[in-house]
Amino acid sequence: MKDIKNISKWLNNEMTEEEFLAFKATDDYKLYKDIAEEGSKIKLASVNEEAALKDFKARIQSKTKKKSKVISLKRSVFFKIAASFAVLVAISYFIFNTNQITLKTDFAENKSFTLPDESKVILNAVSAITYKKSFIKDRALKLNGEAYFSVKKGSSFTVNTSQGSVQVLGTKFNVKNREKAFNVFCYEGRVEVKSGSDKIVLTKGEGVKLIANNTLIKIDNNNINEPLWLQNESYFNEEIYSEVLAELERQFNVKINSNAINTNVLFTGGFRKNDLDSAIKSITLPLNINYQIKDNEIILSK
Amino acid sequence: MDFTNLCDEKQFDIFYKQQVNNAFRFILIKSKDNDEALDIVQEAFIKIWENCNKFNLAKAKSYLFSIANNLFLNVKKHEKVVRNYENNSTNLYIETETPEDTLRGKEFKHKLEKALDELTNAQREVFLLNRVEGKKYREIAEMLGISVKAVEKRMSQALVVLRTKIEEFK
Repeated sequence: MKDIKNISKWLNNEMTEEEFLAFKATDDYKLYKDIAEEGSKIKLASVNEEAALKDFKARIQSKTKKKSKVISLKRSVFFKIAASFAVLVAISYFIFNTNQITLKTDFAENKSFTLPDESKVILNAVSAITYKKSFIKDRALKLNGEAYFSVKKGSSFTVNTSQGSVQVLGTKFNVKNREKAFNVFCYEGRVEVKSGSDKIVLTKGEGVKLIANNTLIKIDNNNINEPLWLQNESYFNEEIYSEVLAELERQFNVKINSNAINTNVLFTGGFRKNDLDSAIKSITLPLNINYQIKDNEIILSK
Repeated sequence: MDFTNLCDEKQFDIFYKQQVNNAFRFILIKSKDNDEALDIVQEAFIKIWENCNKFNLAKAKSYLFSIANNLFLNVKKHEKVVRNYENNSTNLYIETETPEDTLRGKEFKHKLEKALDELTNAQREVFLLNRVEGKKYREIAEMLGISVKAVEKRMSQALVVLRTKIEEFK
């Protein structure tokens, strides 16, 4: 074999047409081809990324714990000053901050909480509520994102959002307050929704959403008794497509690149949260949009 | 949001998930021991995390491989009895059976695996990284800290040895 050096070029796709034809004509070609092809069919073991990441975090934690046992504060002037600063910061933190309590969820996460008045709240992905320590007295909280409330009967209970507020007595309702969407749906009892100068009272099976010119419109649906996202489905009724994409990003912790398509259209439909691939299909197929998954990014195209 | 800031836990997690199996298999090929490979890879990621402010995402990948490589070499250096891991690739390849596997194909596969044991570690590593992991020679050179020429040489040697051995088995 005169051109031993050249064979390696072959597997790096660097052979010229001429070299390749010459190589192909040799008696050895077939065996080399088998070796190369069979070689690429070999499978090596792999690890589950999520499990490995968990293991990694556990290792980091045990490492920092070990370290903290060893380190002792030297009694230098520097540490005295630093310590007094730390105390000062801690005190001011307690004075100014303990007044507020924040509950929140991260990407691809749903969590259920019980409020001090025993009302229940379930937060959808990437959402947060903040309330004062004195919550029991005024029962008011701030919502950013989407949440389902099951309110204990009693005095008024208010949910404030950047786009409107919802006031209730004792009831079950869902509030969605996202960048491009504000809607409220009542599953039991009565709720009053205020946004700007608009005010609408909802009873069981009624909802509202905020549309383009800042007006609230009513939606009726008597067939459901709790939001679909509690059963791991996200459903949209004539919602702006960019919000649909944003919800998918939140539920699966992925990035969507939608530069190539028009996201200003309205979309009715939904997706389930168990399988990313079929979720993407169910929101792209109806609009004839193509998609491509690359690393952690989904690229949409017409 | 800065997408190249490794100290951001979310960014780091994404980086971790993207690279963990690349690094794991890179070390597995050398060590042939799943547990040892995972230990080394986790240790390498910890080093990256502890020094996250020192390099950006673009550089982190090549650091990851060279840190893992060095950790592996250290482990081997400290092992007083160098294990005879030449003939022990049982853990390395996963049995896969596809409907297209003909008897002849299976036989060839078996021969190839036996022939792979006859390669030196350096040769086998380059062959597997290229064939199984689909790495270009330039990438392999970077991962191993050697020149592209050296990679080409090892690859050529690997191919010739494989061919000769497989012919012998016939």
